[in-house]
Amino acid sequence: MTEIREEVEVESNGQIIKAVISEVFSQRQVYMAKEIKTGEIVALKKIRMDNEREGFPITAIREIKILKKLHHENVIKLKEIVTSPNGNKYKGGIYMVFEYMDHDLTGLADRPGMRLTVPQIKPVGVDADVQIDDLSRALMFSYVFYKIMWRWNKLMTENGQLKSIIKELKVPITTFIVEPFVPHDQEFYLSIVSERLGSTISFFDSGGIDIEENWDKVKTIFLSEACAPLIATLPLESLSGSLSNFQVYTALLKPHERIMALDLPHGGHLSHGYQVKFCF
Amino acid sequence: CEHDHILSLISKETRIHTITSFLEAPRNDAVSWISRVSSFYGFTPLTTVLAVNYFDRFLTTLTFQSDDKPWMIQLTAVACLSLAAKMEEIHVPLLLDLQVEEPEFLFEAKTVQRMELLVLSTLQWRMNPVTPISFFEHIVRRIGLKSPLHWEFLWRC
Repeated sequence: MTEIREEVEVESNGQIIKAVISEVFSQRQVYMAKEIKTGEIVALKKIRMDNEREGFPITAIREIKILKKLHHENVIKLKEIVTSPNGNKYKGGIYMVFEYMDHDLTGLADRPGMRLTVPQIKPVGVDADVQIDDLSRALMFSYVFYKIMWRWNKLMTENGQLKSIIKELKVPITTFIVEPFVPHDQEFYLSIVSERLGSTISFFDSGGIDIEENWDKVKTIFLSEACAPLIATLPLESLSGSLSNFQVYTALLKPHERIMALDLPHGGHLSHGYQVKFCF
Repeated sequence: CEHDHILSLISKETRIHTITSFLEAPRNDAVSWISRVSSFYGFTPLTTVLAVNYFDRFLTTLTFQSDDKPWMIQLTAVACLSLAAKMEEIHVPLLLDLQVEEPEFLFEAKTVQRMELLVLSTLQWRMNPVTPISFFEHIVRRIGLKSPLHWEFLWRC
């Protein structure tokens, strides 16, 4: 994690000026900022436009679209969008303002000798635990777990609250009716019904990661014993890539809501709902 | 719960914007152009509705003068349609390809990008307005239209 200090000023609705003490995390242009009026610390993510030949980037539009729709405690909150006042209205930098998170789990996991503390780990479990019903609980837990496995843009506060960033999205739009797991010979199925086609699809063996094969990696992330029993109770079989993805979506979306996904070359997965396979 | 959803839709549905009279004719042209392009590319109706929604909101927010150049209206239409397509469509045509159906002016991608930014910031990044289409599903459910034919109709909206 490199730290570069620089100053950026941004403007919101043509009125409020915010001074920015910035810290650039890795190559992504993400800054830590402080709102002058409220003193609130936020994170700014610059929307990159340098190499855009097709106007305002479609990925950014879809990222903003889905972030504005998702109000969930485990999804990072997009507070607003601001522009930097240098230059005129349509030329300055454009930043998304997010709530500030203390840690980047990827960074943490890459740090040699890294140990998560008990207070940091416990809320991971609680996080999954406070959901409304059993289904969501299972889903959220798998979600957190899966995302940690993949070290995928998970952020964490000092007291352990986890949030994820929705990656830039290139392809929209699939509608699913989602039904709960159907336990079957101790393996877990997630049944996805497309009302449009009237068909049911099981994603049991449609690929993805094998938790058991990656068990060493899993253990290094959760070294504290406090977390071990929780992991042991996970329905491991349901954590293939496709299933996990759907768990994420089903945990976050209600039936009939839309799922948006990444294009394959952009890191997406078929189960993200890319049209070729699962666009109903 | 469903009731709440409808209430929230209604509360979010803003009042209809009124267009200054001298803009009416150019607006009609622009809307008609947007519809033609939409059907050319087979965009969903929601894309068209969004594009027109952006266009109207932009026009009413900004103070256009009657002697403003007609290309500005066309550029606005291109930017709004492009933004709407990026919101909703699976396949979004390139900006140059988007300008089909014999528009009077043709704009470079760079120009369109600037206009897109102006539109986005003018609309304060509120790109997901409540449209009549938002109500379709509720109405269809309420009246109990549940045959495959009705769903087929609904899915096309």
